[in-house]
Amino acid sequence: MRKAAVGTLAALTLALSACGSGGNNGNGGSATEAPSSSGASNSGGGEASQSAAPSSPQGTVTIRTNITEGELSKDQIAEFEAAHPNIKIEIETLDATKLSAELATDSAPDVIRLGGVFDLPSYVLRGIALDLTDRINNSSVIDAGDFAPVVDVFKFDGHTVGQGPIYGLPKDWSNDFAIFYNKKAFDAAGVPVPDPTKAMTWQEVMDLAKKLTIKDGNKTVQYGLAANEWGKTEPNFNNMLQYLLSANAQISNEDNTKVDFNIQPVKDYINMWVDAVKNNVGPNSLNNDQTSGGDLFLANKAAMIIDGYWYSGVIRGNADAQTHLDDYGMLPTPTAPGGTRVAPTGGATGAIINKSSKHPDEAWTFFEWFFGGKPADDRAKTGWGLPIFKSKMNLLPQETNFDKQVYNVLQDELQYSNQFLPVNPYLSGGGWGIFDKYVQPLYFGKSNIDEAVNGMTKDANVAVEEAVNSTK
Amino acid sequence: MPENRKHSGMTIRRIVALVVLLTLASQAVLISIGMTYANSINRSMSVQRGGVVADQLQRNMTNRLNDVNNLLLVLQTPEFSDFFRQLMNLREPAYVAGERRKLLENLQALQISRQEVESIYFIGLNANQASYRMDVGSDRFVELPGLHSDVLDSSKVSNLFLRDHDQFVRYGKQELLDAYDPSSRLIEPSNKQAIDSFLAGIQDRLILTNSNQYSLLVVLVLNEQLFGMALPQERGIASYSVVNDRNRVLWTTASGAVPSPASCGPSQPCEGNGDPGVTSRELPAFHLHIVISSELAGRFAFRSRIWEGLLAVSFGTLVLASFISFFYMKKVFQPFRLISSKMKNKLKTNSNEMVLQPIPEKLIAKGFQAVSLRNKLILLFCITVSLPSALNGLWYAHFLNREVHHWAEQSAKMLGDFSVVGVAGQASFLENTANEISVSQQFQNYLTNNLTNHDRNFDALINLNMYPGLIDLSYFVLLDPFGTSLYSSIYSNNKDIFSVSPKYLEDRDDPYWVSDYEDIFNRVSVAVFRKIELDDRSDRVTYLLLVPKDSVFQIAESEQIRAGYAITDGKGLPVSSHNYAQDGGMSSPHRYDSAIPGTDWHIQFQYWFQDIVNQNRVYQQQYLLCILMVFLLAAGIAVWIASVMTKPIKQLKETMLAAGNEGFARQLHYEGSNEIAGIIVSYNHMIVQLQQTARENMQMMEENARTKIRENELLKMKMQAELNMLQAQINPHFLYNTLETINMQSMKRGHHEISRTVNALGDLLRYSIAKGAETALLDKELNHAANYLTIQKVRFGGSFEAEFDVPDELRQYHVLRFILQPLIENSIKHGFGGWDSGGKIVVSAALENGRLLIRVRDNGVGMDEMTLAKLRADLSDEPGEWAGAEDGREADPHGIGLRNVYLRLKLFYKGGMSMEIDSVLMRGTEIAMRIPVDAEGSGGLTA
Repeated sequence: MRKAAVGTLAALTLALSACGSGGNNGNGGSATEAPSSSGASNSGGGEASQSAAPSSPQGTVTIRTNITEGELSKDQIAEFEAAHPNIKIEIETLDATKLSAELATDSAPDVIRLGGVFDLPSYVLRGIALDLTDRINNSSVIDAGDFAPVVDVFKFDGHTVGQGPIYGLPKDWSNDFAIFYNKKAFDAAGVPVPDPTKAMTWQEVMDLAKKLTIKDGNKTVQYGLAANEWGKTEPNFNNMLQYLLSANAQISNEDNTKVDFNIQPVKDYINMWVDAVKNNVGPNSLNNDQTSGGDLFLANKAAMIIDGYWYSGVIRGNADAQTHLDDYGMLPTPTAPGGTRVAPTGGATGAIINKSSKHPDEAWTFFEWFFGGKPADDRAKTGWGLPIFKSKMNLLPQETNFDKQVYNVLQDELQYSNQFLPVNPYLSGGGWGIFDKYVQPLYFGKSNIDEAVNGMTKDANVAVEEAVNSTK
Repeated sequence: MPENRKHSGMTIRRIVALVVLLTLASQAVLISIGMTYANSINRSMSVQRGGVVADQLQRNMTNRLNDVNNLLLVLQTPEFSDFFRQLMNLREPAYVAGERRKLLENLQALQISRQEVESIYFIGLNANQASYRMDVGSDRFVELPGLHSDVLDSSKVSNLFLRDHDQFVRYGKQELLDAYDPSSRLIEPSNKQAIDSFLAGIQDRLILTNSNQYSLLVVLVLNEQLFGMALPQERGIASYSVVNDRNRVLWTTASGAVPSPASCGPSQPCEGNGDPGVTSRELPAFHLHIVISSELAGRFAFRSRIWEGLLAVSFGTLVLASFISFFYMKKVFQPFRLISSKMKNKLKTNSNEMVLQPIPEKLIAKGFQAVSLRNKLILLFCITVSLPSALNGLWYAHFLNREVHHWAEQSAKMLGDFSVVGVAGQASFLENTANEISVSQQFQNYLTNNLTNHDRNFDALINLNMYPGLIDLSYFVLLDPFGTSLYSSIYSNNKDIFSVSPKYLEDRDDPYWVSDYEDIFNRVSVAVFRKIELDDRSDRVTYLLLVPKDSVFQIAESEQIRAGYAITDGKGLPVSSHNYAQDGGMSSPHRYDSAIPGTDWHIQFQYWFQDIVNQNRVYQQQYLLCILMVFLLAAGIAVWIASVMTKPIKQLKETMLAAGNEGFARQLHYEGSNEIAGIIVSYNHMIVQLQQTARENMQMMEENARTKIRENELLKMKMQAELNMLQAQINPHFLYNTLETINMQSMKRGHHEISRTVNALGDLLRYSIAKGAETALLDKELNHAANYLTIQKVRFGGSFEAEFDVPDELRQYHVLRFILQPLIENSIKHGFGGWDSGGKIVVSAALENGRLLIRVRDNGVGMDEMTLAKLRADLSDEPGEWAGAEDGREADPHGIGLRNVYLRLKLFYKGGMSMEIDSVLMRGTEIAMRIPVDAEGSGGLTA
């Protein structure tokens, strides 16, 4: 929907269409693939055209998908259709609302694009995802032995992500909670760039951010941190899960039927961030700066940005940044204070095959080609996300110093990327909204931390309860 | 005479009937052509017009709904949604108030029409965000504490919105109640109250919502007349409804049930699908159908009016035709009747006497009657059939043309009314687009800052999609206050050419139209200008210039209904035109003028109803063909009738001529009963009488001749007999006396044999000379025969014997005298000639079949067959011939006596007698006579 394209410009959208991570995708924020107004100019937020009505000639099968035009170009489709004359690919542009509506009426696409981390378990529980284990194991196109560990995020046995049958594949992924830095901003603040071989703690990041924030009177002329490329520098549910993973803490019980936010790591995380917000280390609700984090970062007005490897693609593609690529670099995913180093993916956007697809075989043919065929190579070469095949890692850009710096840090990060965010499949994307609802008043001093975590616990348990009941 | 009149009356009636029939047929054909034409025009044009109306309505409706939908989109842009995302419930009231004022200004800048939208719900995500309702036209918001997207989610009400997102929908109380689940622990009493109040606000209302669960939820409560705005004030008799995918009627002008739109494909017209009175159009973007149901009553009214007119004229024509033909035919047949009656009268005046008088040739008047019958009939059929056909055809054509013209005028008005709504809607749509863009800070930033040094094609496309109105634009330009171009949507690397004269830039807050804008293609075009005040506190203003495409005001037309229009503004300057022919073009269009509401514009429509022209041509051809055929048929029938009627006249003439030439009159066979038949019957009657008279005369003459011949014969025979008698009268007396003397002397001398002979001779003589009756008793005749034999025996010395075998009772019958003696004489003379003895004569008599059979048989020499045949032939000869033979031919020696007897018998008994001769050579001869015994005065018993 066009409205969604606009409606999400300001705050909630992840412009991740082309990126592998979509790190915050799938939670309370709109899961649309609309482009941000920032430098993601070649991101594929294809809202451009409504797909034409299918008019299948005899024997031709039309496979619908909500994979976006930015991720699947017209040329690629033409190539596929030429090789498979019995299959037509039709891209359907869906925002979260539309997709929900279609899922509710069982009219969702054959190949459903979703976030692996936050959406897949919920889709499996709701019986939407087709089990692809045999197809993947028997595929001549996809070599399951070559999979990177991140692929396991599409495995789910009803309780634990990473175990059981595999339901889909990520198109690419990223260490979505890593830090990119802009040396120009560091220089402006007279602060040296941290050692990229060591992971900072989040607290260290916040402290660094405060130092990097430059004020001119009441006006902030440089921010220390942008939480992401499109929104405000505020905590969010997904980011918290990475923190908890590092802190080895859980908000869900063993079988995910109960949620409790009232644990110290949650409080620590929130307190740390509320403090950062109050110190205006980035654009936030308090200072009400509507400028997007990405714009600030690329304009040398924010020193750091929390983003995964895919963001290197944005930097490479930005006209301004291209003039001083060497100023940019990636830092490892931070840890919770005293926590273990983890570099999980926050999105792993990929696709499943709709269990109620009328043409699962043709859908699979398309699926196989899209995830294992030429498009996989094409994606890897752009550096807009990490390939899911170990063998394709060397296709990533390694030419410039920037490429090399990012690539080197990545090699380190990959060792910590085989763990997944502890997502509760019943809460699924609902955690984001609940988290925001109770954290936002804290910025304004209209609530306290206990009230907040209790509120979250209450809302989340109602949501989990309903989801459990509805999937029983 | 009465029979004649009946005949002539029949013929006239028949011809009149034929004329009436033919007139009726031609009228029927004309009317049926006319009605077929009217019906087909009516049907096809109703369908066509219905189709164009439906198309126009589809445009109007799409336009109108797009307008509302655009509003929904615009309300989700940051200019409006940011306020609600900005956690206003957590912020300082003063700040909130300031922001709210700005929001209100933005909303007011949109100049939302209350005719479209009545109120707008802005529902924030959660308790941190504000939720407001704005009633359009009001200058403040109504706060809605406790109403948030997340509680609507918890209450499950949002499932309804999710299902119907971005669709025009209406929920009944029950539907809302069914969806509403207030049991969630997350719904506080304050929330419940807010939800109840919200649901009450949208219940039974037409609404449109984005159903966004993740951001600002916007619910537009629409004016009930929103759909009605796509219709003109005058809607005619059809009913219009809007039905959604679930066959729910969202809106209708119908009082009763709304027909289902049936199964129509995407954007497919649905004519002919089930009920022909139902047309539907899809609004695919909104999953709605327009259903137009035209009641048939209107069509019937149209039809019956024509029927009445045509039937009246047709009936009049019939009556007139029958009268004219009746009197005309009377006139035509006058001479026939005259002749016929003349002929009849001649014959009938005196049935015994033939008074044949020539019919005066001047009987038939000159002038009209001088024309031949065929031409008269042709004239008749021309006057009574062909001429009315032609005239009526012309009249029908005129009448129908008038009706069709009237219909077309109505249609032009109807289509025009619909199109005016469309044009007005399009104009306001563009104005609204200008309004929407003018408040879109982001859009302007986007145009002026972000995009100027980037490749904008891809993103521009996205934003064009955001403002669907821009699709109707040729291009749009952002201008500074001096008319210099800041940005242009096309040829952006050459944006200077888009600069305009500052005279166009007016300091006003609403969008305004300029009619004399010269676009970059050097065409004078209409354009919308809208002043934009930038929100950067710089007091800078810019102007947005929207240049619509030529087709922006396009109105619906079809292949059969071509439409043209010209829009002029208040100053008379052209705004837009399409297909508008100043001089009307080839065929004159139907025109309709109207002001365009909401503007100072005026629109002139031209409609060409192609089908009418085509069908009219077909009709004219059929009509001409019909006239021609009627003419030919009438002429043909006239010729045929004439030939049927003149054929007997010709025959009559020929027969009469033949009668004259051959002197032999024939009757004419003619089946029919008309004037000609009258004449022929008269003629035949005459012929019959003539023939009968001739035959009678002939018979009479024959009879006279025959009588004469017979008389002559009898006279001749009588004279002969009298002569004979005279001769006999002299001799017998003398002989008798002598014989008496001889007898006396012989007796004295004792010569008894002589005495006996003389006595016999005496008796014989006495019998012979006895006068008086021609007949005598058979006894006397036998006695006479015996006397003769006695004498002959003496003469011939007993060479023969005689025998009489006659019963006594038969001797009393009268027979013609002297019939036996000549036969016996023949036997003696011819049968026994030269014999010494042995001859025998037998005379016998008997009654046979009421006749007396007398036979005289001898055993003499008889006759050979030739002689016998000749004799028999002689006997059968007519008396005349016999008489002739007497004169010259050599008589048969056998024949004289026989003939004498035969003829006398024949004369006396006529056909009642017969005489047969049978003879075998050397065996003898037998004569058999048969005479009647009961004939008066002849062979009967003597009393």
